[in-house]
Amino acid sequence: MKVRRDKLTVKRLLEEKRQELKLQSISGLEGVDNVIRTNYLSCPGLLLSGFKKHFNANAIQILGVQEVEFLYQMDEKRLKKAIKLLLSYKIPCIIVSGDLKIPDFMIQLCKERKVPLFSSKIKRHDLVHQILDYIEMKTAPYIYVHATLVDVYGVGILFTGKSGIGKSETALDLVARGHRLVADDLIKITKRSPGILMGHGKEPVDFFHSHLEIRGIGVVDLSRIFGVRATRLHKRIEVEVNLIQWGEKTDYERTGLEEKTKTILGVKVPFKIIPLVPGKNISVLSEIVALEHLLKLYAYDTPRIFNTRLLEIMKRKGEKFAQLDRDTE
Amino acid sequence: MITKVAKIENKLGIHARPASLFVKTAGQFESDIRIEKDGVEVNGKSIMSVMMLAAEKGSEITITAEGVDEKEAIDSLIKLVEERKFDEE
Repeated sequence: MKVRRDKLTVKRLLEEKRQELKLQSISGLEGVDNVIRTNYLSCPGLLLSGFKKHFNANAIQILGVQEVEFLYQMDEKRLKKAIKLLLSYKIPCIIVSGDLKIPDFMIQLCKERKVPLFSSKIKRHDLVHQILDYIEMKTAPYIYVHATLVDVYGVGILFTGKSGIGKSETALDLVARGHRLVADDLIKITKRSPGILMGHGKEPVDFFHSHLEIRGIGVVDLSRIFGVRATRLHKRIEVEVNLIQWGEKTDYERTGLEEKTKTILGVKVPFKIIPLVPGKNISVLSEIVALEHLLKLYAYDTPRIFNTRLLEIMKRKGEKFAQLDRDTE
Repeated sequence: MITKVAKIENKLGIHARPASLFVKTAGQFESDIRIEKDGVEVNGKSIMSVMMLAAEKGSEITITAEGVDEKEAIDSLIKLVEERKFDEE
């Protein structure tokens, strides 16, 4: 599976976040095609003081009150030198936070070097958090998989298996039972740090996410049929359920003590293999998978607890556990 | 039909892991497998039944195999219980 990453340009940041970040263009829009190549943000105070080592020129440069005041207390020669140094690198853009007054020389040089310069009313601390979240989301690695993603009791279950095995039918049945479909057939899985996988359908998600194809019936729109509760736009993937034909494999998990995992984009996800046989209710099984997952999250591991008690019983063989002989009901 | 008695030799008895091994081994054969202990007879291919026997170390179980491959089945199961001790201590 090919791991992909999107390129994030200043233009895209501007299109999607201009209002939220309250960005105002100061030096014009030349250079907005610059690519932001890292999800690190740089506050170039040390660079402005002349220390060049470890400077990250790929990052968006954020100037806060400290950097700006530092510039203003310099004499003109040093100020020009400092700004020239910053703009000698191929930086994607500069954002000055807190609505601070920007030195004229910086505006002039940004125009010359075609480095977009923005001012924002937001304080640096908040600005940094908002931009970091955004960049991380936009540049996260992702893959596309052939699967179905359903939110079952709040647990994101990724159904995988061969074409025609019944993934869509399982999803349909789960939705009819009150669960929510995230997407069918094509799932985009994005890795969000730390170790979180998010899944959604193909863009535009709000169009594709509620449609699925049922063999023999055709394309159906679940949010039309069941209403808004039937779907959701994205969901963290917490368990993978692999549907297989009965007989394809013989050593199924019997006790649940062995926790199989599958690694997706470097993140380990509990992995269950469920064989299909006529009459088996996959929806109920999926609900149990979700509920057992929740129990484990709440530190109740049924197979382990069962086994511990079984071992105790064997140890105390002969002791009476329940007063069944007195109970005549 | 072949019936043989096996003594549980591993320290922890037939808990989940050995039970899982037992039913997996039993499942490889066509024959019906039954286990009897303390007057209770269970299906040797059903893990819950096998665990519910709560067969501790030193206890004896009677294994019965019936079917086309009963000989091989009983040999493998006796070997698993007594010789391999479920690959445990």
